[in-house]
Amino acid sequence: MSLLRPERSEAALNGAFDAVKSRSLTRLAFERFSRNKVAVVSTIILAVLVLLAIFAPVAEILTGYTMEFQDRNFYSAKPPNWEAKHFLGTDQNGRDIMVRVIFGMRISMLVALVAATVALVVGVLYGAISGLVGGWVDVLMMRFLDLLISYPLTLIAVIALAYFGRNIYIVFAIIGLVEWQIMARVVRGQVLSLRNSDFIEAARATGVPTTSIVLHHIIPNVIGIAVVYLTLTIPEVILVESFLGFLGLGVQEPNTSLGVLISEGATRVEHKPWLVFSPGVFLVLLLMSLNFIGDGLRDAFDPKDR
Amino acid sequence: MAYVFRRFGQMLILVVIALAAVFSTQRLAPGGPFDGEKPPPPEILANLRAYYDMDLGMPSQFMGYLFGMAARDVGQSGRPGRVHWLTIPDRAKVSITGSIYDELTDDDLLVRKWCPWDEWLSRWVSSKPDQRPLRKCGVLRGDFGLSMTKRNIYVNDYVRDGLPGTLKYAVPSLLFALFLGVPMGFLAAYFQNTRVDFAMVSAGMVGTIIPNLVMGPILIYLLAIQLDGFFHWLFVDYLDWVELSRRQRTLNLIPSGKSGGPIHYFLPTLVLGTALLGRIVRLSRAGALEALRSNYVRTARSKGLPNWLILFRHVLKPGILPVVTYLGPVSAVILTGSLVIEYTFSLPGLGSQFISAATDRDYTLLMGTTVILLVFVIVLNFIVDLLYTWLDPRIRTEGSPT
Amino acid sequence: MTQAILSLRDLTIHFKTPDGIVKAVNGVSLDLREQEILGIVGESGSGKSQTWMAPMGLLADNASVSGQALFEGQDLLSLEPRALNRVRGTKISMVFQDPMTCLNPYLSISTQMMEGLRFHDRSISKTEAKKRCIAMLERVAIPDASRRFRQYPHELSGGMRQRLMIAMALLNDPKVLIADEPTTALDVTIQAQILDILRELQAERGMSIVLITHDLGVVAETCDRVAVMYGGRVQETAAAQALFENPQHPYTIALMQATPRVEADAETQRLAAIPGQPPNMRVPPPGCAFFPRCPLGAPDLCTAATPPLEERDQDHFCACYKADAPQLLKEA
Repeated sequence: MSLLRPERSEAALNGAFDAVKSRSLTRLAFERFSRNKVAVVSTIILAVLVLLAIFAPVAEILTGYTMEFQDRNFYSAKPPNWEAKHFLGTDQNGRDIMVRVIFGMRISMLVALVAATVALVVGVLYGAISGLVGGWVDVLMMRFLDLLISYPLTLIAVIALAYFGRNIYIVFAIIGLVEWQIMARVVRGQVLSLRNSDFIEAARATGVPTTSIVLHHIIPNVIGIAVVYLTLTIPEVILVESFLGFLGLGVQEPNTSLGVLISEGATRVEHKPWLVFSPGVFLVLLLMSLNFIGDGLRDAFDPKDR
Repeated sequence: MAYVFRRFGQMLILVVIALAAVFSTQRLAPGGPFDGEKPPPPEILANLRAYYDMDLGMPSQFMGYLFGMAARDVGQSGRPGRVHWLTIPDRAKVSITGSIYDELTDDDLLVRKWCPWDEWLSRWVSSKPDQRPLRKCGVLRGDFGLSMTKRNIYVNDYVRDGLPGTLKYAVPSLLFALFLGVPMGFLAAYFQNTRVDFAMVSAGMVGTIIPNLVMGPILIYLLAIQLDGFFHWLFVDYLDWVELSRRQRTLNLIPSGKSGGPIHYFLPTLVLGTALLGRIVRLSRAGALEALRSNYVRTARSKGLPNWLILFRHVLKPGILPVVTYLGPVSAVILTGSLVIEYTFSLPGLGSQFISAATDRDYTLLMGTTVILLVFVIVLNFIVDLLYTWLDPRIRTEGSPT
Repeated sequence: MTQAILSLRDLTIHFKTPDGIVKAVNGVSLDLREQEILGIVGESGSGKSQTWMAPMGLLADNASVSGQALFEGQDLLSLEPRALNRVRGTKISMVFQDPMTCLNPYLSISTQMMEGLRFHDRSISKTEAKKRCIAMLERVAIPDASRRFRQYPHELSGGMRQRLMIAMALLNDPKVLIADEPTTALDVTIQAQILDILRELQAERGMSIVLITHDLGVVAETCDRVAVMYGGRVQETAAAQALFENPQHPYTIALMQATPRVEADAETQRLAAIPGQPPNMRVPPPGCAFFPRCPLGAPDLCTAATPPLEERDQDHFCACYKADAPQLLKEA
């Protein structure tokens, strides 16, 4: 006995929704990200750096100097010399800094990628187990995480590296084990909110088995946020790696990394600034672009934080 | 209060776990403190190992390290003596044979039954190495034992020399970051999305983006080289003034070794402080923003209170709460940062001792510095918890943070 | 007819958002008369809260306001912050919807109560202020007032907090109290208590109250006069009794049909929801805002221009082109 004409109001309804036509979450996030100029510029910078690292051997071919080659004419750290194609100068042993910086960045990126993956795996597993199992296990795991977060794990990493040698795989594992806590916490939060969300409830009510709920609903939803936080973990990992390298505990000769290069120059900066500046600039660019991209992604996916 | 003490207890347990972990890994890891370039003869090695209780089982070693251990008759019988937990005979004699280590040959090293606190404290003041009794009183009674690589030096002495060097820069830079960062964050929040906001956040970002291992050398370069050059040009070439010494021209900004003076705090504090600044600005900005948007601030505004009063009364506490929670993890940032500045500015401190202890396998020294660094972390976390309960009345009554 | 104490004149509020301008309030003119309780009714998004936040200067930063809000010869909208601070909290006070979040959890009740009192009148001593606060707490029937005074907000129940909010708002003896959905977040029994307290205090102090609500029952119980808002405009104002007996606007009628009543015919009559959605205020419909959902809407007439508020009866205004709306609806 309604007095109202339904067909009209439905038309109005559609009209009202036209303006906010539902866009998919990822597309919306992508649009937000591409509106963020800083993040876009950072992406370009990072792309350039990654290309440099991938095609590092090209630098050897172009300059004619390998990473190991010690130029007798340029011993004991000479400033940049364009005629000799030492574009960024040489180090104490007459090795070309540009080539070394590019290769060092390659190692830094490699370590960062692998170690961040270790952190990702550990963090996601820890967070997912804590969130999915729940109960006292969850309480215990989170309490432990709380304590761990305010714990100087980097120092433990120093000890571990000092004892177990500086094999690059050990470096990967140890650095990865330093930076997983935030990932774990974020993943757990996501799992918990998913667990309590209506659509999971609905799936459970309609008799979908637990394994398929986890496979089809929880994992895809967790992966997104985990990837976002992965981009925020990578700069942290690079920082830890360069810190350890700086203290002489990172990768060993003949490999080098940005932190190692910086530490070689740090004590001589008063007289030979180019030793620090070149790796320093690359490290800062790398960290900066990664940080901004990570922030941009997080804001794009989770805009409430702003 | 109960909450604070519970947290403190948890931290203590974690420290013991960490100590056990470090203790066992270092003893399980390949290599040891005594295999230098020229390994000592086996019998001396055996004595040395017995002297440092390394011949015992791992649990006994660890208990001995924690609670102290009786003096053991090592030198005469050549085999480990009996172990008495906590029952240390008065003026027992311990001797070590071995002519390579002439500092320690046949010295009578005394072990006291107890380590009274007054005596322990007086050791921090007086420093006549030959008058000190050898004490194996255990970490819990403040004895870190003898260093293993430099065998006539107490770890306590190392700590006493190194800790002030670390705190000297850690504490001012923390204060610097807090007292600069929190107002910056509040300003940014108050002027959200304006130029002020942008300026504050990007100023904070500088330290986050430029890691301190780059920041240190760059500041040295700018201040030592560029400032020096500038002042030389200004005073000598341009003003035709007197020639100043280089030290005067650079304002004596670069700390070198142990030479002090307040001005030497400037660079290390800046390097260490800026690393924290960005996070603190961001956190306090976020906290203040949330408070400013909150309903209770709207209530306060509806009462006709001016903005300054609202900021200081209604926004201050919720605004600094996120910063306070960050102070726990901050201890790790400070510790790693102080390792960097000790290296960059060649400062003496716990950090460099820690590194050298780790690389030299100096078990006792490493354990000692680890304990001290962990205590630093615990104390900071304890302060955080105290601040938290003071700031948030809900914890005070309910006993746990929500 | 009594005089107006607070008059809104052509109040318009727009919010700038990244997705466009939200036209929340569009030309509201309303008088709050002395010693009356004025009910403002409307669904969420009708701009009813924003309309009354504006004279208090409590709108978000992205709001742009035009029009006037006249109080004691001053336009509150054009006052400087300092001058506005002398008015709000002293002469006009506000009580908000959610007492759980409207009190600062980090400050004690004593601090939060006394600050409003002592900031506006520095001559009040601490003990004097304390005495007045506790007396006020007792007046709003908070048991054990002097102990509660020393506690923190989280130690109080929801109803107690709302009473505390009311006490806080009335400390400076304001002439106008704006109550923004003061009972929405509370249990029904406590709602009645709060409304009783409000009514008593209004009678006792002779102040005017604006009671913003979406609950017609609350209005019928409490208010002297009612204004119905929809789409950022006043659609109908009348004395409460007149409105309930003789609603004129189709929206008001629909609203009443959508309200559950315990009456004889309630069994036969199904509860009629208003179909459709409230208008998207980024792109408000042209003409009458209710047109897309209105059963009587005539496409050309209603979309051409917004209908003006016309006097239908004595002191009964309605903004609708269909003067015989109630009749038409009854026939249909």
